[in-house]
Amino acid sequence: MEDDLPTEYDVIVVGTGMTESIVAAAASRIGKKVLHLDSNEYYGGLWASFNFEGLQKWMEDCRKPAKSSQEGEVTASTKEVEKLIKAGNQFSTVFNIEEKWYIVEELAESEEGQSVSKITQTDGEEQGKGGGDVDDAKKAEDDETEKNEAEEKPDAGDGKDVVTSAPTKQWSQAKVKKEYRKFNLDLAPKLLFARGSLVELLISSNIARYAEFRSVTRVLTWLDGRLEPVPCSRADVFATHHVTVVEKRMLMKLLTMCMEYENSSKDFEGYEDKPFIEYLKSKKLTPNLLHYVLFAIAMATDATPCMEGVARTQRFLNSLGRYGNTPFLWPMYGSGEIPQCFCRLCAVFGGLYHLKRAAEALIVSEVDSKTTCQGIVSGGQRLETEHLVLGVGYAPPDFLQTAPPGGLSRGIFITDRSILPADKESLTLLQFPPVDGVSEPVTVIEVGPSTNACPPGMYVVHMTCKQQKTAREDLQAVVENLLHMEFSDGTVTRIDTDTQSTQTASPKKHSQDGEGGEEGEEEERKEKNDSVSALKPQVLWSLFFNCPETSECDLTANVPANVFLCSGPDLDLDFEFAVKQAKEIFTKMYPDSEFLPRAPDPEEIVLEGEEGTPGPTFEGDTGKPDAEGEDDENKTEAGNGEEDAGDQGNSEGAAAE
Amino acid sequence: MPQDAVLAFERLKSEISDSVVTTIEDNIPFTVETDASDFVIEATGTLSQLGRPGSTMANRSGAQRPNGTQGKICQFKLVLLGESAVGKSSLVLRFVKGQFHEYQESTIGAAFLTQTVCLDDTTVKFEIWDTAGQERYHSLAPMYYRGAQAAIVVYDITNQDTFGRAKTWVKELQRQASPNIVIALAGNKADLANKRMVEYDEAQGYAEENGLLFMETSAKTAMNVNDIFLAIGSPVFIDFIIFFSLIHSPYLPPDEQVTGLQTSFSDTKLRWPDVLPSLN
Repeated sequence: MEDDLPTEYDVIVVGTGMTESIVAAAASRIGKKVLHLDSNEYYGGLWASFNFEGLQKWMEDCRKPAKSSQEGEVTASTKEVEKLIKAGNQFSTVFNIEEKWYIVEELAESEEGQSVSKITQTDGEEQGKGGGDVDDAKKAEDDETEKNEAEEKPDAGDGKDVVTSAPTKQWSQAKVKKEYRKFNLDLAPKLLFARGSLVELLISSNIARYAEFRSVTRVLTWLDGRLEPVPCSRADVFATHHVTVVEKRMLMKLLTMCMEYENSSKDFEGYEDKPFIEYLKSKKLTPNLLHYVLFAIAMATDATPCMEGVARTQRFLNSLGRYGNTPFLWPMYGSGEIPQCFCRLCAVFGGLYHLKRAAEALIVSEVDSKTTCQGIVSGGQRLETEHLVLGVGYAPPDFLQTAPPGGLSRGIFITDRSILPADKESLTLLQFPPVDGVSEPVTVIEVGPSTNACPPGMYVVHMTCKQQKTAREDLQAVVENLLHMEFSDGTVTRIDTDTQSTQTASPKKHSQDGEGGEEGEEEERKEKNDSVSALKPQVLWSLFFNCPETSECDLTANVPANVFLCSGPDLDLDFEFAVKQAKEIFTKMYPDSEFLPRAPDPEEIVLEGEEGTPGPTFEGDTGKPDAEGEDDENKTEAGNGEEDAGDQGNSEGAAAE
Repeated sequence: MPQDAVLAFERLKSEISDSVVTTIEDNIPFTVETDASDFVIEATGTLSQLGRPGSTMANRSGAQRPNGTQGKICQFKLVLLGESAVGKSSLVLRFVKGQFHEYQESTIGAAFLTQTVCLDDTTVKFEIWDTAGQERYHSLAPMYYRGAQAAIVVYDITNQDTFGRAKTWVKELQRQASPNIVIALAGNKADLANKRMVEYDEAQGYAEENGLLFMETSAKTAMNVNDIFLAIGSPVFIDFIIFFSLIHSPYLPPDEQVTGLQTSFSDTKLRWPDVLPSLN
């Protein structure tokens, strides 16, 4: 029935989550024979990203009762001392799933025509394009792209119109679903600290080449009931209206102090056992500054101990200035790409991949009261292995001493505009502090179409926090502060301005449309004064769910010595925990081997039997030397790099010395 | 650490312009590496540099013009798909290295190969991705064809099943990949025509219905190998040129055009179907 696999391995990895994938890549990289399985038909487990359709399917699967194959008797040939332990079932782990739409199922044909005609009446210029909108809506899916372009234009036109009557782009469930493949929605959205351990690992292992990133454009905080940008660079400090000159100096001084903690530890004397906030207060920071440092930069709470606060501040500051205005990177197509990158490296070095293939049971032998895992039963086959790496969701229940101590509350929202409109698309991190009815800090990440998270004209907002009740209850307060999450059939028009069109339009369109944009901004400012709430993004669709937080579980207690369990997604912003865990597991398996040494570049690969036979030549082709002296290459790179650093004309150049 | 801390703080104080997309490291990296710290900057060729002939664009081996002048560099990602053992790797090897091995083992350690082609003042750099065997149990990761501008779906003309599988791949690409991906169908092992199981006309007809480029190829005799790669490259290539002339100046604000850092070219490729008004 199922494909037959080779039966002997050095490492079998079950589950394609982040930790599992890193371990698989590391083992394969040093020449170990790796088999990597996942019972799902997708990569990533609880770390995956899905398009809209894929996410629907995921929810369906989660709601299904445990698969029957797990209940049936597992049979396989076992030796005398061996016994079979059934593998766990990961789908028992996601709960409190609540999905909801806030828009009509389908726009009536006439309604759609109406909204377009409103635009055409007020702005004749748009007539052709507006008409195109209606036609395009009927076109087949293949024309999607064109349709988007056409659809966006009437929006841009709104900027010139008196907008109060004409609704902006009207979304219907059907329209959103039709664009399903333009979504990449993350189960576990993660940012990368620009100098965090994952970025370093991606670079040192050369896996970075498989992925692309976008730098987070702004860090926001919630201050006095509104969103405020957190000054990250000097430019930001100058731009902010919320920090006075005196405060700016104070801020710089404090941050320097934190950065140079090792030198100026005297300053921290007596605060070792006190919360970070006490130290900040002792510095006589103004309330604004205190808020910035505590909640946005250190991403701490009132209870965070001083030293941890300092460490968190350092982590933030250390990552500044490497890749952009903020210390964070976001993976294009979502966080779910990252495990796949490691899987690809594993495959490139000979790792064998089989999705939709589970481990039904573990074969465990007990000799002299020492339990060892001999292998697994998968698809009725006996597969033997030296080491077994298991995602925690696959672990037999006996392996886990206690149930996970905590959980994560997640919310995903598709909205029609940004939480804080700007003149170009933003990628936003907001650490929502525990104020205004919010009890646990909530990490809010807003991504737009340029990250391929969603189609043009929309945004995706992710919220994550520690679970207390259900995801919906935990996130309710933040949702209310930031979003408009009520049903809208489009007939009751909120005071919609063109903010949507200015913010979602590509910079190109914006500059072409300069006049409209400016007016729009004015209008927006006016709006802001009138009613802040009117600008809240309309939620088109929302999803809440809870999943366990297993990073604090004891994953070694009841486990045979050659079995390693991997945690699921944790609460932290970055993948640091998974990287650390993977490294630990790898070191236990192969203490004397290097962890993910750099993989060669294509130019460096010399294939067997290769002589100077030139490849095909083309007009003007200089003939590419494939395995030319690496030294030369490095020199070139270094040369360019220096120039590059020079280009930036700032401290980077100095730092190189 | 203290030294690092000072440096880091210098960075905080410095003003670094907004970057758009970062490929942490790529084929054409700028690299600053100093011994003392973990301080590394990598970035790829930038859109702005590509648009500014004579800029400091990295021009490593292959990208340099014979007469020493520098032109634009277009890099584009091409993925190979198809059942195991239809000759995907052999096709790449023939195209890139001009070689053929009768008993080609799956290439260990080669994530992808590159081939550079110069046309007028533009250098086209193919980044050719091979499946690394992940297709074997139908477990290819979607990140494999993310952002690919072109795909060659390969089947073996002596094996009807591989043709059926090729059709599945075409469907998969049409469903999952970038909507404007150019797809070519290659009937490989054309040198084994005496064992033919897939008729030329059948494949040709299928390709026409689905708007695919089609050729029968032989990695062994080199028949049509260069042709299919270049054919698949050219329409994309032309679109690129149009794309740049349309989009170049209004797209990036001036500050981003001069930073020379981190505006990944490949990102632009990814986005153009969304950004670009219809080319027609």
